[in-house]
Amino acid sequence: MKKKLICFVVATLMVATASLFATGQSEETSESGNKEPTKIIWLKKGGLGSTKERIKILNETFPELMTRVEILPQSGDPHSIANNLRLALASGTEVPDVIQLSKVQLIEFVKAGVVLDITDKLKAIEDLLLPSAYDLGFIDGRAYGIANQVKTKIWYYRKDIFDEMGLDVKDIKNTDDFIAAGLKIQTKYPKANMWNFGPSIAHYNLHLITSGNGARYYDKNGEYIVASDPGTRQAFVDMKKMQDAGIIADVSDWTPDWEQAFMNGEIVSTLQASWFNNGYLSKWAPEQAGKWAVALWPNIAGAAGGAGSAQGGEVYAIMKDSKVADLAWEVLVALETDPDTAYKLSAARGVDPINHAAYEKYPELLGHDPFYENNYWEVYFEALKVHKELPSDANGAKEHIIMNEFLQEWLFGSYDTVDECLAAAEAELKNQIGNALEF
Amino acid sequence: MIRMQRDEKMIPYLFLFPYLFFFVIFFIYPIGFSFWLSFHKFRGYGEPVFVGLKNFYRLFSYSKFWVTVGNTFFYVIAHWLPTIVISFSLALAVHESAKAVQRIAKPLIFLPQVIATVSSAMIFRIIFAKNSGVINNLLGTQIGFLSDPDWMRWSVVIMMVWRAVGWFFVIFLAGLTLVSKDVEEAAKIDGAGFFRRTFRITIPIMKNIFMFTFIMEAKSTLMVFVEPNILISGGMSAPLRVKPIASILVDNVRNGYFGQASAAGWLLFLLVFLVTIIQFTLFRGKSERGTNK
Repeated sequence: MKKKLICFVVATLMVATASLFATGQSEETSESGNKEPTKIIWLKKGGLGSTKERIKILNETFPELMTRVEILPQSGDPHSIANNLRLALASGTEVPDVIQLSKVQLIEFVKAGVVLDITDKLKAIEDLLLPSAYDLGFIDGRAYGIANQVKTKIWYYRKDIFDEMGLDVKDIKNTDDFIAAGLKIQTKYPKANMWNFGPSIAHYNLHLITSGNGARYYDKNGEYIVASDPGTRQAFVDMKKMQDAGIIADVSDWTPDWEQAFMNGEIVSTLQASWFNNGYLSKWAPEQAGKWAVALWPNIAGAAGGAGSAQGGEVYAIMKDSKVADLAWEVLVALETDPDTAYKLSAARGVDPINHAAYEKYPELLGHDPFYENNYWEVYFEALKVHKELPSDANGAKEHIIMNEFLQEWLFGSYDTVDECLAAAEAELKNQIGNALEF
Repeated sequence: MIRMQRDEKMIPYLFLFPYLFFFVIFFIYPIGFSFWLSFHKFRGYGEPVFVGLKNFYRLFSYSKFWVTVGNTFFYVIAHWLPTIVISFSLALAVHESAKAVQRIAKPLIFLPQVIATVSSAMIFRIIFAKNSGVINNLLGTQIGFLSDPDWMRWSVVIMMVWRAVGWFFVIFLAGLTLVSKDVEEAAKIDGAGFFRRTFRITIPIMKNIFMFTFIMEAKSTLMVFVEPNILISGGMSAPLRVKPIASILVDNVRNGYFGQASAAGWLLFLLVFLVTIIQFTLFRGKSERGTNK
């Protein structure tokens, strides 16, 4: 009997010790939280260094505010950050107070009712923000976020080669002109291409086009209509046309071959977004400084004047159940509307400020980047005027995956006609998601 | 007396209790929950909504699902034979070699297993790159190992073989110790050559080792995810031509369709279970026929 008792006590002690060890850490945190500055859990894309840089800058520009606040950074890669948030919501532990998501990702959480409505707060600072930055925070007429980055469409091209071939981007107005320009360049540079797709076509390429040509994947009742939507159809047709013309490099984004293709002149033009101006070209092909230029996109697949965006852009939002919402908003306003903070952030991280004051106080922000032959900012602000978003709802992320899969198959030649492909895509959307508005 | 015996029988269970406690919490409960979840629609927050068999129906009617099943079986079958042949040959060679050679060969051959799969995939992306890749530069070619539809799956298979050889090598090397030296010497004296001894003596004696390796390798290959996704598309969703079944599960998890992800997980489990049963039956069938002779 004694032996049995001893064994039972040992077993129980082992379990109890293990359980205490598992919970001990969180007890320490909550205990210290009551005595320290208010903690704000901040979930941001990219590495922890990105958030820490922002904290450092805020410490310099808003020292008083930062004595009341302790930001606890969490980070996630762009693909998993929404899932990090879902898991936090599901478990109820370490739910962030502030999150950074793309506009498309944010919509899901807004529809789920877990994001704070900040309409009045955002309206109060409307005059401080660039118009498209202000608009980015709105979903169905209410504001749920403040812009961190507005991603416009920008065309990057090798001006030296274009000049050599007598090509002026102003004359390249549509897909056919784009193809003709590529073919002309290939008469002297046979391996040169105007864009790249590759076997894993970047998921943002289709969105860049459909966001600007009036495409919609579903009607106002949430029924999927991609088979009959003219914008979607035109996007598929034009991308295949460009590929079949032989002006598209068979290289996927974010591969070693992609970087190499810029270096060796296999890609002499690329239809991208403003985020591409984050030093990629200057890192991959520094010897090409001064040879590149930027312009608005031509009218590809009906997206006139370069209209559209890369999933709208990045947005900061505050979670509805956050107990520190007011303080979190104060920090966000400091981060996004203060010119000094924006200037330092631009210098440190290459983030384009979204407030007027930064550009007014620091005109050098609009200074000429010597990597480009022309002024990037002039084009960026032109593109901001035509910033548009693809209508998206709670299932936007999955819609993009499915549409991208079908685009890949269409470009691979798995379907004889675009109508066949889009009909299959529509059937798949209905099968996998059901109704676009269904949460 | 009887009571004391009963008390003594309880003692092992008391010692097992801590392990069982955690086993139930971290294994049984999640399994049960995921099974329950596979019949619900749940995005990680809010209330799960019961949808019956809809998640399973959606998977079976997903046009890409059967392509991914085909891709997965391609990986299982295509990489199996080269892996077995190369690793068994290496094991035979090392087994016969001097101790000094064994000391160097064993860690070198096992090294790929030690390197994280993601790291290996990223290195192979550079090796297989079309313009800047090591292989194309050495051969002076521009083969699209990662972009040509005819090559993509084979590139995945090559990487899988490279990784798997080390693990099988170690298993086979250990298994070769089962083969008695006396039996081998007797066979040599009887005039049996190397291949005859290998196929008529060594392999039959190591049959259970082979069965173990076949089953374990089939199981892990059916759940392959990293190699096709990282190697071909660098972490973005892999093109359909290389996508394995596990990608469907991960894509659903990434987009917060946990019910569908659970259903995909259970389908994958059933597939692995069926393949394992078939393998057991085949091996056991052959063994029984052997004994009946």
